[in-house]
Amino acid sequence: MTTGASLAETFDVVVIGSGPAGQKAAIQAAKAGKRVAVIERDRQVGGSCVHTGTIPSKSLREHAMRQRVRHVDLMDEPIQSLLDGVGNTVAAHDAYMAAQLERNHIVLLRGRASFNSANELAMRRIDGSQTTVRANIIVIASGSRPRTPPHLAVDHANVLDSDSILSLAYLPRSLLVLGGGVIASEYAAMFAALGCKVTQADQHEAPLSFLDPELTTYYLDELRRNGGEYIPRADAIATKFDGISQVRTEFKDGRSILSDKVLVALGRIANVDGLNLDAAGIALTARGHIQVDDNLRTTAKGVYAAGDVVGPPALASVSMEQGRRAACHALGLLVPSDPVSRLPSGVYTIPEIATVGLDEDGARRHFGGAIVGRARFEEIARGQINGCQQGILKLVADPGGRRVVGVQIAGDGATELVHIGQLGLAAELDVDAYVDNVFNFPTMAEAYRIAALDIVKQRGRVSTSETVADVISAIL
Amino acid sequence: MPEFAAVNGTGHHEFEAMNSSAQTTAPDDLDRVLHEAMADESLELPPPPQVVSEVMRLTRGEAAGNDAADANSSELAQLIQRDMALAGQVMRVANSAVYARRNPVVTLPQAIAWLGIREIRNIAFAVALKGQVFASAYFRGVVTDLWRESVITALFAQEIARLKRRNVESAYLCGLLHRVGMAVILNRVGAVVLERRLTPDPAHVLRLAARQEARVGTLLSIAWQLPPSVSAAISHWRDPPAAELSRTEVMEVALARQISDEMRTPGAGGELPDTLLGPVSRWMDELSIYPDELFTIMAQRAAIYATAESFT
Repeated sequence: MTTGASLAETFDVVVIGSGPAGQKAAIQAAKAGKRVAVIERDRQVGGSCVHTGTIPSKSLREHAMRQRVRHVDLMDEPIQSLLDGVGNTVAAHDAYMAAQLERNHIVLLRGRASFNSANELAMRRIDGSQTTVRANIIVIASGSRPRTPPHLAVDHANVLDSDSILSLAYLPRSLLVLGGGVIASEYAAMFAALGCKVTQADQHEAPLSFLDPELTTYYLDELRRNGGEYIPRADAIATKFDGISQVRTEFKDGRSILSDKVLVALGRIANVDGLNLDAAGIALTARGHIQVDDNLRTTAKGVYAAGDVVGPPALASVSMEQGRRAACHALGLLVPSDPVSRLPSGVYTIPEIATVGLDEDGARRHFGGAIVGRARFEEIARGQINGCQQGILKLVADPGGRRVVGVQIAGDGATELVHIGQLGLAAELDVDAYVDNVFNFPTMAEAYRIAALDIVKQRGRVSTSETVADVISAIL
Repeated sequence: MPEFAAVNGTGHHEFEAMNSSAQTTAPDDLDRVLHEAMADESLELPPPPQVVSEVMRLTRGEAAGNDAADANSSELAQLIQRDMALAGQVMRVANSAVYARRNPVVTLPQAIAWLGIREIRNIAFAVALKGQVFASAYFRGVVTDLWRESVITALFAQEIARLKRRNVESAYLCGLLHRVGMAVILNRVGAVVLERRLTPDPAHVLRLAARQEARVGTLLSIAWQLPPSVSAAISHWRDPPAAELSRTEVMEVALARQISDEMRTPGAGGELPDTLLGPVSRWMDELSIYPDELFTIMAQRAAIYATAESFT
């Protein structure tokens, strides 16, 4: 084995990992004029978001969406053909990100990092050689990987995780999805839409239990329409290939389910192995994530952490913001006061679900009450035209029905539509602003006005302007 | 990486023995005959192995419950029993060192239960491939080596895929079939050579065949409706970056071949060969497999070679 060591390199900021969090942290620091290095263990930059997660799975979802229209029998279809164009998308994204790092004069180091101390890393390259990298600020953005509980025998042939499911040779006839979170629900929705018989099983009463139950109803309805089912209160205790053709999954309550394949999507674990965190005095949470404060500082001076490695929500969008905020705080730059509460969440189920701000329950707890305006997609002309009639937009307002505190959407295009509400929250627009402003017609954005009018109606037709009164009278 | 490391082994000795008693056919005549034999219209691609279709039918997800599954298992045992080559192979694998158990497996149903259907499918596919494609009366030694090389590549590719959290079935199939074009050509050319009593220069045949193997392999892949990743592996295993589709699978095959070439002696050594690590293998680099991860794969080489032995 070739081993070599070179002289230590010193940077102002070193980022471990080039996924969404790492990339944004590095670029933020570079734009502040700092000398920055990113240490990436893989040949490609972008992390699992680009290569095994967000981008490939969304490409498969696009195919599933087209399938809803075409109704073609895809059984025995190679998965590769369903991921058409994903290679080019990933390559283009990879090239774009590499160019972005280069444009910002960020040094990309290939290897695996481990801490010697809070400001020194040992980096082992793929050829076995080693070097030392020093920086006063280190950002850990090493991401996460699927969690595989030891009692569920993930073999990447019959029992898969959310990485290996995307390299299946063929679309299976039946799929058992273990888990009720975002990844489990997204894959359950996709494979059901592709024509696979999907059973989703989880310990919770409903999937996506962190969301407003009114939204998850739309997901469950669509899953059932595609022949799928959700089994609540189901705790899988073993998976066993039955020696014939299927995997038998046994549950704590005595039931068992046979399926061609099983997807284990029971959360993700932080990639902290090999980082030698003890050497820097970096503490972990009880769930194995890196412990950080509100400013993403770890327990070691000068060391920050961002993205999946610090735990939920583990969304690419949130990771990017965390990376940026970590770098800003570390460099003493102005950090936006509280953007995290206004970060949108997008779940790419079929239909999509997106939220920003408080949901109905949260608003009631926070304000002691709430007025919720609803717009159902079946009432919207664009929804009729697009065939997107299954959906809802909920505008959540304070008890007085004036201040918008959250937006919850289920339906096609929800992950795009939510951004209007997000900007409205950021600009502190009140309910009437959604009525006063004219949206293009026909668009799904019209849902905001309908929901706002619903709030106006509930608060007792107390409008702030003549325009609003005119609009309300015209529509109501 | 030597292109014909395996086929220059046993096969070459066979050629030398043949050539010592006969004069080599003139290259120009031979080229004409060989080109004719390799042309699309005279290749006579073998049909997809019948037994595999049957096994696939019986092992698909049609079994809705235990009763159906049991019925299929019994039908499968009968099917295997009717095919002596397959039955023998199933018993041989079940009793091989890889599946070592206290008491030998003595009945087919016992072997099926012991191995599991995925393994049975692999065996059925392998036996059919070996019998119908990797078979040549004239080039027996060369094709045997080619077959062994393919099985070992398939098994290493499977372990590489598992390590990288990728589906192992596709990697196995790509490894097993990446040189199927060469096997088809040698099968066909061997028949022509015997029929016309030619005495070709073996190295010359292999050089010509190498130029055609990707084309012929791709034809077979299309005829058998194999996944696109298999076509990619057939066409690009020598140059994975050229693959537009399934590049990762192709690189897995390329690295699997490199590992098997380096580790040709089962159980020998334990250290990483310099050729793999200094400079680092391009395919390790492309797949981001670090030296300790390569150790994990190589730790399984004894089991892989034992499985390969039971397949050949």
